Amino acid sequence: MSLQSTDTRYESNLPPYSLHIFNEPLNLLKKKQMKASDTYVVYIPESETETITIDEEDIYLIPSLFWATQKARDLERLALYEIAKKFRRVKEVKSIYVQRYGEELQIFVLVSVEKYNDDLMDKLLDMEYDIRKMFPELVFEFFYPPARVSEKKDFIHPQAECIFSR
Amino acid sequence: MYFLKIGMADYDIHLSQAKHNEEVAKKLVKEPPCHDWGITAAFYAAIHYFECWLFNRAEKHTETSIPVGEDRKFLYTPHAWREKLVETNLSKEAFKSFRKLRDASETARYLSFHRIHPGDKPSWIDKPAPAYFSPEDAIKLVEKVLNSFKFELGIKI
Repeated sequence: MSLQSTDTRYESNLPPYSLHIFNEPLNLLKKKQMKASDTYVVYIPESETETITIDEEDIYLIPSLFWATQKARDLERLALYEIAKKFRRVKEVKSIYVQRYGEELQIFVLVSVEKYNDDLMDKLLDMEYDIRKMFPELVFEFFYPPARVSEKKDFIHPQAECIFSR
Repeated sequence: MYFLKIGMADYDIHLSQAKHNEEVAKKLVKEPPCHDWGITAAFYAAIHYFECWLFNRAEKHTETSIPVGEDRKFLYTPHAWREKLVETNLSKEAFKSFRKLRDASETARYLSFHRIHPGDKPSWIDKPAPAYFSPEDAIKLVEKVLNSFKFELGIKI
């Protein structure tokens, strides 16, 4: 697997994070049936570069929608990275989509369950609470639609961006 | 030109509406298959209990305290702003209880769950909200989670 060069336009705004861009089709993206022509951005904390494994089970995709140049958006990018990083640890989390409404970030965490699971909700809400406390400047709305085992997007706006998928 | 006049309920009205919604919730959760609507009634009880609590604070009402941009448009939805107020002003337990009720009521009402794509074509499965939430789930959400939220607000259970 290869990462393309770091984009220095944004790097200076993201210490201690560096920004890497996939701009060539990668095997793992092909396996996910993503369009090879799409460009995806991956944020990797410099301190964790060695510990993050990018493979089929562990993908962080921060789409180009969030490339905005304003500094305010950098915080959002960082928040999205942290959201993907936290929620991926929950095996029931199938994918995460993000869309913007006004100044708020709407996060759709799709969970693979067939029945209501109170313990799972406790776990997800603990993580959500941590994220909110980490980024008090941002206003979020989190949703946890049950998506069983199939991919489904019919309730998510077509412009919503996927930031995590397994 | 139309002028929209929004009547803001005061403390007493929020409280009485909250109690009414809670009573409805308690009845519905014990009447399967209507128990899923009990969850929604419980969430709307929680909203009114919170607005009741907020009434004596600086914000007074969620809707009237939503920040606006330079163009005077709301920056956030009322739900998002209310959750921000809950998160920043109340305990973690209160936040989790409120969020649990909201998320469950969203799922119970809209249930994107039953629209699954097993293949290329959407198909519907015969599992509506009353099957996703067991009556026991609904009772717990009303009797335990809503009570926990009320406790955190300092409202007598």
